[in-house]
Amino acid sequence: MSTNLAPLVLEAIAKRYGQGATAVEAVRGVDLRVEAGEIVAIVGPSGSGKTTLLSIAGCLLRPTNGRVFILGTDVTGMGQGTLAGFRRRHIGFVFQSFNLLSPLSARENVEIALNLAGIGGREARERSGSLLGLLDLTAHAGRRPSDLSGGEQQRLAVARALANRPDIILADEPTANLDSGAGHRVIELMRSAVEAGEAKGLVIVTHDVRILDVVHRVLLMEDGRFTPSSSAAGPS
Amino acid sequence: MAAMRASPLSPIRPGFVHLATRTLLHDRVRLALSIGGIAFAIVLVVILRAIMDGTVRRSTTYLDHVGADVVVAQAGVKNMMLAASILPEAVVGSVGEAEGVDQAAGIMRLAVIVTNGERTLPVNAVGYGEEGLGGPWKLKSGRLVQAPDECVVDSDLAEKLGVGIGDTVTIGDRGYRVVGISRETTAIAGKLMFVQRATLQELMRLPGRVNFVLVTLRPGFDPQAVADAINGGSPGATAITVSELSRNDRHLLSDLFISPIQVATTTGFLVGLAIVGLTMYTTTSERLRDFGVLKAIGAPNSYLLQTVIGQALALAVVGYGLGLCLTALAGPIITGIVPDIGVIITLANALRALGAVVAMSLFGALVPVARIMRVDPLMVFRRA
Repeated sequence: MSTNLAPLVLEAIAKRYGQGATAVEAVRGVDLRVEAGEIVAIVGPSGSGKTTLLSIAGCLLRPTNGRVFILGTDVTGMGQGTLAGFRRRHIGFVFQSFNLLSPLSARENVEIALNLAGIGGREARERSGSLLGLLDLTAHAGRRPSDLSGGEQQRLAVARALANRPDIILADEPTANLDSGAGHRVIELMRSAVEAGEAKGLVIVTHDVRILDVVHRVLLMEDGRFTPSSSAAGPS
Repeated sequence: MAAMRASPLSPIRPGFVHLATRTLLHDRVRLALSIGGIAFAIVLVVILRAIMDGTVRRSTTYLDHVGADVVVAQAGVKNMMLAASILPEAVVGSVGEAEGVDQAAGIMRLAVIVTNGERTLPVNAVGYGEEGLGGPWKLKSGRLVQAPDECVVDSDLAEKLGVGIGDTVTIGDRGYRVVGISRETTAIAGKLMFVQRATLQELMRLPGRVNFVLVTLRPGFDPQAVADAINGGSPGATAITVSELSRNDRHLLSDLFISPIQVATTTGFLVGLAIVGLTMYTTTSERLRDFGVLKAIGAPNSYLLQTVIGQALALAVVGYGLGLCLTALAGPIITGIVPDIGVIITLANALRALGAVVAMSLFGALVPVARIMRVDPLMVFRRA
């Protein structure tokens, strides 16, 4: 399989937890290629392996078998320190629980991601200001996450994920804690960010069928595999 | 492509978000309590040592103010405090003839119990001669002694005994009329009382004897050289410079104090360590998810390590500053209540406490750091 320029390629990924009779095969030989500009949704029942697959794609969990490529680089054998550096430069995360840093303001939550990549001072302020503007959060730049609504917090999490112009954004149930309006807005903003080149690709793990019409492809995962019913879709 | 930069990941770089301090400031009540606790520990660590330093320094107040350059004692005696020294009074004359000596005067020193009615106090009595050297150097009121039954007493001693000029104090079965009140003549080893030399010679039944010979020099003569010359020509006597004698007495008193002081300062250190450790442990325990998030978005362990240590150091340094200020403020209050002792925060003491506080913060951060290093970034996928 060619890996050239694809933001994310997973080759024959398998993940087994435990050993012997108690071993659990969470992911069983999954292949996935996300093309530049592509938005992919992974849906499936709880326990089907979606989040495990996302963790592997995000270099947070090592697969038992298979290989992970981020923009052509095989990250499978990298050490923890190298992987941390790779994550901060190439991968953006959006979580269901937002996972914002509560002691920091909205602006600082974005800036800290830039700081981790070695960007500080005026450049970091300008970039964070630009992202907060993009996500309609400029008025909330100085407020703490606890002072923001759920939708605003998730938009802020998206801004943090976009801070370093990642190759791939991995979103885990990004709309699960939001009402339909706020959820729709977050998805639209992520799609716009990909279309604007702020990120090269987007993978969303979700139960939310409302967002399936804005993604390019929907993959159904069951028992650690993509089912044959996985299909291409088209953003409306 | 993502921003590609050299990434020196110090969380305390200018222009970078200071997560360590922001996290501390997030809970201001706990921050205030922690800093207060550390300051208390620093007060414990610093003030006892400051009292020891101040008191030890004050213990040589006689030697430091009496105006002598060299002291001659019985052979082999190198302290004035707690030392037994008896010399023939004739030594005074021979010492006075040494080259460079301006004046030589014998003094008697005796620890006595002074009473005024029901009030009784231990006192260091000093007997000095008509030449004046060895007597009180600063009078608050009255005059110097002129007769065997007269005395000059320290102002604090006079206050505690409830006596003034014209009153009589008693040593044994003899009374001495107070003719002068001296200042700056108090020390932990006893407040000073001055009488004629012959008075103490008679009390001690040592006629023709002195305990020490005080020596002043003519201008241009080196005390050590004169002391060496006296030592060469006076068998049975030891001459020592006042600065060395003073230093010896301070070391002697320090050695007496140091063990209990070390116990107390170690206790203070452990209290501070417990406060820093507990604060860091609770702060990091509550923020484990934040550290998991930071790991997930690419923060290396070194960044997290610096953040935690930065928090511990910030706590410790602020607590240290506050503790030092409180100690400095407490000093005059303590010496006002107990004039016998002094409170001096020496640079060495302050630096020692700073070292202790840095050690507190580093040791206090050990357990939290170990815990954070084990944080699994996958926790970010668990529902909060």
